[in-house]
Amino acid sequence: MKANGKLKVLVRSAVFLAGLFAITFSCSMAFAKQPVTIKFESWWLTEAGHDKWLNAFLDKFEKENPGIKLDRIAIASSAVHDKFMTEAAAGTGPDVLWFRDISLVPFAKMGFLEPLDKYIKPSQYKLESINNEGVIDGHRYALNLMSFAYGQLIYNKKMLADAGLKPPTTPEELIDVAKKLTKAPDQYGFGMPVVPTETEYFAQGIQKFASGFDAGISKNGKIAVNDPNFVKGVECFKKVYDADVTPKGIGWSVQRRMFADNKIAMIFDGAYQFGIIDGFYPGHSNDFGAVRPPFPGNHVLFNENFFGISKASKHKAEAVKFLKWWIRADNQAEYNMFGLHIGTVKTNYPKAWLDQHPYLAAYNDPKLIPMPTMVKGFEEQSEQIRRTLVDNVAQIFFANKPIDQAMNDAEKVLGDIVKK
Amino acid sequence: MSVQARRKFDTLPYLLVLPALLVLALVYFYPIIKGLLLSFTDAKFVEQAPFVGLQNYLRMTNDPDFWYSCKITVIYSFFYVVGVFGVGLATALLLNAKFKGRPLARTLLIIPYAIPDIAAVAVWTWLFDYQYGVINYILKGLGLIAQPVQWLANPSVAMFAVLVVSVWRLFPFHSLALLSALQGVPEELYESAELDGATGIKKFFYVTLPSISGIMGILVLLTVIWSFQRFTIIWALTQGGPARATESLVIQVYLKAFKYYQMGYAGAIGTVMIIFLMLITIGYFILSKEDQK
Repeated sequence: MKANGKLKVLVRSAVFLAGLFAITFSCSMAFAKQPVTIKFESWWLTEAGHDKWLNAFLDKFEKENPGIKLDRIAIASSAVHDKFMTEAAAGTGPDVLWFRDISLVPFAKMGFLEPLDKYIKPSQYKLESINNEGVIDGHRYALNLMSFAYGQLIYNKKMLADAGLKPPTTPEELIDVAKKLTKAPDQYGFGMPVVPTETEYFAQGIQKFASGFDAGISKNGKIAVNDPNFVKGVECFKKVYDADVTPKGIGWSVQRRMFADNKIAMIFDGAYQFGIIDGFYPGHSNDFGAVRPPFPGNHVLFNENFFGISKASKHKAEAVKFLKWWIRADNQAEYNMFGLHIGTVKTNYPKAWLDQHPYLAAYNDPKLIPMPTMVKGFEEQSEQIRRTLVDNVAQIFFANKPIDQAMNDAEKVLGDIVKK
Repeated sequence: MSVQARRKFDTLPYLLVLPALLVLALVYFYPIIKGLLLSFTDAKFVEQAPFVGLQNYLRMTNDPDFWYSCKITVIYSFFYVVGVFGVGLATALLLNAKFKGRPLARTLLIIPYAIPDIAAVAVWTWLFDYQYGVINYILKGLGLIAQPVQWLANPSVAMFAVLVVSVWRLFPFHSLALLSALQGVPEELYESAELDGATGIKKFFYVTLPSISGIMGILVLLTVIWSFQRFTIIWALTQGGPARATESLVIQVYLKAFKYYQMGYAGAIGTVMIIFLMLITIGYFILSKEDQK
């Protein structure tokens, strides 16, 4: 009886172990078949119009690469920088990150980005020259994802035509046309970001106007915000603001929506704005046109977006596959044509397509000279420099500080910052 | 129960608070220690960085940015404490009086305190709005202003706007705390004072205030500490601007740590703030003990 009992126990144990093994094996097989999920983070997933198109583009990747799933993380553009720094320091966060030029050097120098040298051989691709900015201290940390002229004048064709007006070609005309189109508080002639809490947009506004006078925050490796041309840009910015043709105190995202709603007649923005307008009201973008900004200079503020792989990523191979797919010539062509972006590799835009989108001519002007938002020569301190600049320009706008004095003070403070 | 048995039993309270202590250690003490350690380094963020001794602390002594933010913090704290107490005490006295609808008034009072900071800021941002804000509309309607005021953009009024929102958010807490203290004041004291010929004002200064001074002391201490830590409302309303008009120390710590990649220096400023607040707390308890004697 005893031996029989032991045998029973043995048989039962064997059956139990076999069952356990079978379950574990089938589970592991099932998991092995599961696609690898990589996290992809972008603020463009939150932009009306662009989100739809971007999601379709990402769907295409997943279809072509069934072994990889994309966890699409939509994030506010203002949160990208801080969130990624915190996540990367904790060893978490997205595998592939989309970020702006201002974050590039800090991220690379703090060791948050995986060097791409061993994965991406530049000789295999016709890389746009803008990709050189992704090379820091001899290593490539990022690829240019999309860059575009940020300051072209987009106007509501119907609003201008109804008033018998033409798009302005000089700063004086801009104020004049905007005044004629302003019927506050229901309608404004011009929209621009002048809200001190929106530091990023306010800084872009200053840079847009200054670039129109061929001036940047730095010049020949030195801070140059009291350069006569930079001061002219700020003066022009202030004149437009004082003309009461803009919805004062209203945030930039609301102003963009007002623009799409025909409540603002003109704004400076990128070509992607047409996609955003269509996102709100399909086909409405045909009611808008774009021309070069009404400034004497040929420089134009350039918004540069990069993408890189997080050093903390546990799925680097899949992330590299995603990057390589993205920069493939056919995908680049499709992607860049969406908003006439400069992408990673060179794209020739078909004439027929350009003809179908006449507004793009303003963005495709060969005379335009790009000026990045990050401060050349002081890339790592760009954020502090731009914020300090906004603090000083805010005193001109809201505390009536004389422009020359404010810009000389800004020059001194910024000079001290870069010395440190 | 024997002495030995009682001793064994005494460990229970400690065991019960242990989980809470562990959580506190994790979310409070660890970041404080980490910040302290970072303050002795040249860290850009939280990476391993070279030890620089007291360099960050010495830098503070002649850093105009630091002293500017100290000034802003003192201004903010002073008016914050005064405002919260002024409104809190006034509403507490009002709600302590008997009138119809008092329970409803007490319930409504708590609303600002119950609303999250970000939601409150969203509402106030529109109230302060230059073009469409109700505040400008009313002030203009009353003839008090000729042109709308840029409450959050004008450096000379931004601090006032931030203080209004900050006080509005916190005063219900003070009001309720003071109300409960007021309800604990024995009625006999007022009757005695009346017999001695005390009027309303005198009763307030000689009976009410001394009776609630204990809770007021604690509330002052807490409010000062909170005022130094106030981040969300200031950041969400003005981000320390315009033109640095509301850049308190806690905002500067955030900017240095997350925007300017000077985590070591930010850690030093944070540590000085903690030491300062600890000194205030210790000073308060020493003074209140002296008072009790």
